[in-house]
Amino acid sequence: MLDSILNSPMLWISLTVGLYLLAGRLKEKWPKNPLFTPLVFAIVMIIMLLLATDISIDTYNTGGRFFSLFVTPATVALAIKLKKNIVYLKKYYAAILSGIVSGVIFHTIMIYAFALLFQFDHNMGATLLPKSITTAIAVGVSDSLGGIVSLTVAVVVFTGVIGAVVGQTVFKIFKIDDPVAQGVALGSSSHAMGTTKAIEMGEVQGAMSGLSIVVTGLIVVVLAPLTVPITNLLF
Amino acid sequence: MFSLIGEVLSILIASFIAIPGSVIGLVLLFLALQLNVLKVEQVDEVGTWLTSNMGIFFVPAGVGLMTNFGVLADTWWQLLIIMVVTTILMMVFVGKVVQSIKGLMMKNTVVKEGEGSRA
Repeated sequence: MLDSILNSPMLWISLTVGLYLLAGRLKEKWPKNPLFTPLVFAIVMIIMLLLATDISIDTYNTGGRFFSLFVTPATVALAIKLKKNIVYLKKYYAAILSGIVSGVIFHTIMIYAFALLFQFDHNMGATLLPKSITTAIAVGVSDSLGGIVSLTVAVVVFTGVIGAVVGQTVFKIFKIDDPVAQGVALGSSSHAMGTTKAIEMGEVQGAMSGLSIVVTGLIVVVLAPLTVPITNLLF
Repeated sequence: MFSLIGEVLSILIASFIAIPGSVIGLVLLFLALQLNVLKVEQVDEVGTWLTSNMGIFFVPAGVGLMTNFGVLADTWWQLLIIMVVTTILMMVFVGKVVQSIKGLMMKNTVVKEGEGSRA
């Protein structure tokens, strides 16, 4: 009896949706606390629940897999965001594209440097390379490079939290005061979560940040296969 | 409306090379919008619903993390350092590059047309 309840997809679907919505409520009350970011909150609570009750992840996935089905359409839907913000790209394309392309290369070099420093194997490198892009694209990149997908999700989410939290301070210290530059910097380094911060900062920042999520994601996808020979050489 | 995206999707599943299928779908949909094959209004409703609730779709992937606790136990502090350092440096780097290139371009346009004040 208990078994059939546990194996019912509806239980896990309701639980996931419930926790996600609850986090949204808590977030309204304490907007500064990154733990109440709905994605973070739902993941942490479900892991704790499964560990505490000794229920396996496969049991959770009887319901959980329904959510995963939507990852691809949601990624495809990012095209609409890109289309809506394309006017901004046209206006400042030279600055934005050179900033993001050089940023992605710079970021890749940093990941390699750290991977060598900490003596990670190539799976770990592949897990970390897409950490600054939106989860939907990062999952695909990590998977195709042989990374640990679930760890990529965690790293991406955490990166977003860091970006959103430190963004304004970083801009102040390093005197980055141009709204376009702020938006692109937030979107390219910390994807959607950085973008929520960018939207708070202003309309231009928000639009630039939203645009940069997609552009950065696409650039990483294009450049990622090029890292394979480098990875083979280094590891 | 959903089937419109679905159709675009089905084309891409076949081409499962190194590029994630979802990204091919993204590019195809963007091209369709750009070339006016599709209008933004046709896909806006479902698209906005999908992107604004995107977080929840990744919950199961994140929960999958519990199978990797072994890896994490040894490396969590290294990962933390990497995440904090690379994210901040990336932000500074991109911000500075965009700001300086835009600054250069602005100077040119101000001289030429005087429309530089619109950010």
